[in-house]
Amino acid sequence: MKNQLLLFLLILVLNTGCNSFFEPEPENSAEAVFDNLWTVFKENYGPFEERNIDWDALYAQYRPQVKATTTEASLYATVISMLAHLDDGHVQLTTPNREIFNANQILNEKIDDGLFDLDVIRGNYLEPGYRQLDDHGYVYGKIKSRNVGYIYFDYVSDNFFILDEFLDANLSSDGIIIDLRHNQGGDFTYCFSEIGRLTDQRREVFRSRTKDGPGPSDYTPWTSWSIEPSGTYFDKPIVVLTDRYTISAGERSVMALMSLPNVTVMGDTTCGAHSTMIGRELANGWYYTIATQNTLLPDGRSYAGVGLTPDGFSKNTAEEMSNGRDQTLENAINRL
Amino acid sequence: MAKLAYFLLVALMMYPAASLPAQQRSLTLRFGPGYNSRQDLIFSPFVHTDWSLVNGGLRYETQNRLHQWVDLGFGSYSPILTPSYTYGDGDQTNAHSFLLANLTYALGKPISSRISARTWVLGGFLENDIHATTYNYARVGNSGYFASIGLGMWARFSREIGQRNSIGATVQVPLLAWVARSPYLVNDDEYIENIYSHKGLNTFFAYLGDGELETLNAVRQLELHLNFSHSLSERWKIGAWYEFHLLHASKPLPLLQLRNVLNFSTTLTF
Repeated sequence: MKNQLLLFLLILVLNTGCNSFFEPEPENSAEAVFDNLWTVFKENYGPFEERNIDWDALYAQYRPQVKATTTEASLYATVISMLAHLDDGHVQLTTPNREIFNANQILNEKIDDGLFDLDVIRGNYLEPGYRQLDDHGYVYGKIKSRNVGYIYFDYVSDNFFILDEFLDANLSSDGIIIDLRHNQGGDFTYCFSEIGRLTDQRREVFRSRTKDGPGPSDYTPWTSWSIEPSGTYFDKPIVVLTDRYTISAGERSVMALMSLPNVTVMGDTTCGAHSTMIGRELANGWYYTIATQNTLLPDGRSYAGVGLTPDGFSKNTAEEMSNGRDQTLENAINRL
Repeated sequence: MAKLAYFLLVALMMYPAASLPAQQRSLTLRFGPGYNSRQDLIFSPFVHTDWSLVNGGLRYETQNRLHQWVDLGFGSYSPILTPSYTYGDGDQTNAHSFLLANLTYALGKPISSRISARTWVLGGFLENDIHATTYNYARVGNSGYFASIGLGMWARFSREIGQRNSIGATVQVPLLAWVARSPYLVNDDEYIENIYSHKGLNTFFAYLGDGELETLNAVRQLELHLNFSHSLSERWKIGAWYEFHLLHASKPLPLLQLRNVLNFSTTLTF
């Protein structure tokens, strides 16, 4: 009995004693939540300098608005006002019973969202018999009355495995269109591993580094990302379509395609969110995302916050779309 | 190369237990509830706690001049910081997911006791510890990992109580381990290079390859097992099994996990 009691006490002491070794947790109050979020960004957000953001100044501007008596709604309004200064599509805030807030104004307000419509493309531009994934991860087919192949990618993941089949189907085409408008991003390594047929040599695409400490200069060394030739070379002319909703891994895919000499990019400038993104949680149950990297193109410049500008600008109008016309796609077809 | 080395290590762990002549062999299956507390500052500043019925393991043990056992243990937890809520277009926030697996080989020598009903065993062990975590932040999920291959010491005390009952206590302390863990901010370029193959096993070994040899200054683990068994017959026993696991790692950011598990077991002796 005595031994059993000793064992029980040992277990109790182990658990109780070890519990005290946990790091202090952020408190669940308006002020603590605001300070926690601001501090995590201060220590871990990668592109402050690229985006020309003075994060300390924003603290001075917004922190006085948060008090112990601040309501949840008021705290939300203050936080999104502060985050909006970043204008970063990789910064999002999820709160109960609200739409997800996106710090990029175009994405958040869905500006010109209707200027791309896959139904218009499928209905009016593709020959019957086009192929697609159930979740529209890709749609590919032949342009009506033209010897031009078309493929759309909704995101960047294993849907890119279809590219090889698409290229085989267009070996005798006049060219292909790779449509990355409204591409939601994902994992750029799928694109990089699948477009080996589009290059005949190793091509550097971009360099990136990641925050690895709380100080402003705490970054990993730069890593260079390239595409390598693989498989039967496909050298037909390629037009890549982009718009303001092309984001993240979608933009890194555009970077890879831009490195090819037979590629022309048409459409609108991309979102400008080139970093990787991670998630975080707050004591009140809110979730947010944060960008943690710097990215440079081979010209040594960062286009974060600016976006990748097309070789040929083209933007649909609402009237054209309502008439079932995708002028940007038509411009791409006419180029091939 | 890392893959080959790992599988050789696992095979080496299995071979001695199967090959040495044994006075007694037993196979124990255990299952039951557990309570886990985990704080991993790579992913969150908060302590995530959860009860789960999904904990258990399988142990093969031989006893002769030497005691040896191979143990495969597992646990699954789904903690969430605040109650799930609706956001956006009717989506629901989800709990995080912690999957814990452990494969251990131990070899020990009984220390003779004047009182035959009590036995002390001292020895060494080789342990594989793998944690696969997914932190869900509404629409975004981040995958994480902790893997360690460690060498350590163990000690067991067991005592017969009457003809049919026995109790035991085992403590294990890894002293040296090859430890691989998620990077400082979840996914850096090295992490992305590791997943480039898009193949699970290749990715796992790439993670493992990025690990480092750590001693007690960087990684501290402790396992305490208490067990009770009752013989139903010459071959069958039932029992209860309590485990306490402590894991504390400091690089690149602090990780502390405490796990308490109560299993019910059944043992076949052959």
